[in-house]
Amino acid sequence: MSELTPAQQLRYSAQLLLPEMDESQQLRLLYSKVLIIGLGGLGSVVASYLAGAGVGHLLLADDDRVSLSNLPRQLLYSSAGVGQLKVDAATARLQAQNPELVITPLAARLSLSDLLALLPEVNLVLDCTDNASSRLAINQACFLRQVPLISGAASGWRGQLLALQPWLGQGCYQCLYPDWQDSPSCLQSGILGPLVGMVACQQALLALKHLLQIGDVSFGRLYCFDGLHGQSSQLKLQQEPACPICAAGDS
Amino acid sequence: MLIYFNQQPFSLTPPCTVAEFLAGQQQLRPGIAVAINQQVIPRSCWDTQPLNDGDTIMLFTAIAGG
Repeated sequence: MSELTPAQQLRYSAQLLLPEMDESQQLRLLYSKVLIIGLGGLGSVVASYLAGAGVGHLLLADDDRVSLSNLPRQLLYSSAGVGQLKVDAATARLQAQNPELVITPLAARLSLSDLLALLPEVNLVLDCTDNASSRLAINQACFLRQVPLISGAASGWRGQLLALQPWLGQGCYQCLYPDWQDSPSCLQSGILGPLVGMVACQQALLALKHLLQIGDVSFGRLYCFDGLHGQSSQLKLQQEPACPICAAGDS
Repeated sequence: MLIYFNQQPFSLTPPCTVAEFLAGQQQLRPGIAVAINQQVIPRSCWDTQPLNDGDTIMLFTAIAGG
């Protein structure tokens, strides 16, 4: 495939109108392979926008099943899908949205060794998980395999977004929270759908900009958002000189 | 000196390190990060990093929800 078909030109016509876009840029998306880990409130919105934009190969990882309490914010799922594996429901929905994509469902909680095996074949990892240990394992695997990572998180009224290329010495997730054990889940601390959707939209936007190599992706920066007070801030990360993940061997 | 902590003005007697300030505010707990003037301060520097007049300090907590 060296040029877009007429159907593809029509499907992607709105994004192709952007001055930064052209057929070769669209083809770049169609040839991209992205791993989305976690298909909850973040992952379902991220996956939907990436599939819509024509990211050619999506790997979707989640071991969870759809539950009724997911439906207010996990927009890929329907009431009829309660009890289904999220990867199966999501694959069916995304494949209907954009039939030309390759979607690989992975019904598993990926371990560090799973991640290390998968990462060499992907261009980008999107961390949409709901627990600290998965987040730190993904961070470590992306560092070791030198795959860019865009990590989103939402809880209560707060959202955080972190884009990382930690092998460049800009710091990593572990540098930011070196003694992180775990944090309350959405079911424990509450969440409103649009808050997690906002983080997910930013995550998807950064992902597309990175794949297209356009604009500013702000790697090495933490974006914090407070949805109750409408405040946000952007903070520059620094490598923790004692970081066991990304500073090992530096000193 | 005057610093700003989570957007509130705070009067402090120098010298005061990040770790001393957080301990004084009873904020030292796992899973937190601190930025001074929009720059994250690595944990191993908290004991030595001094606060200066006019600094803006932000404390934020790790969140994991998705």
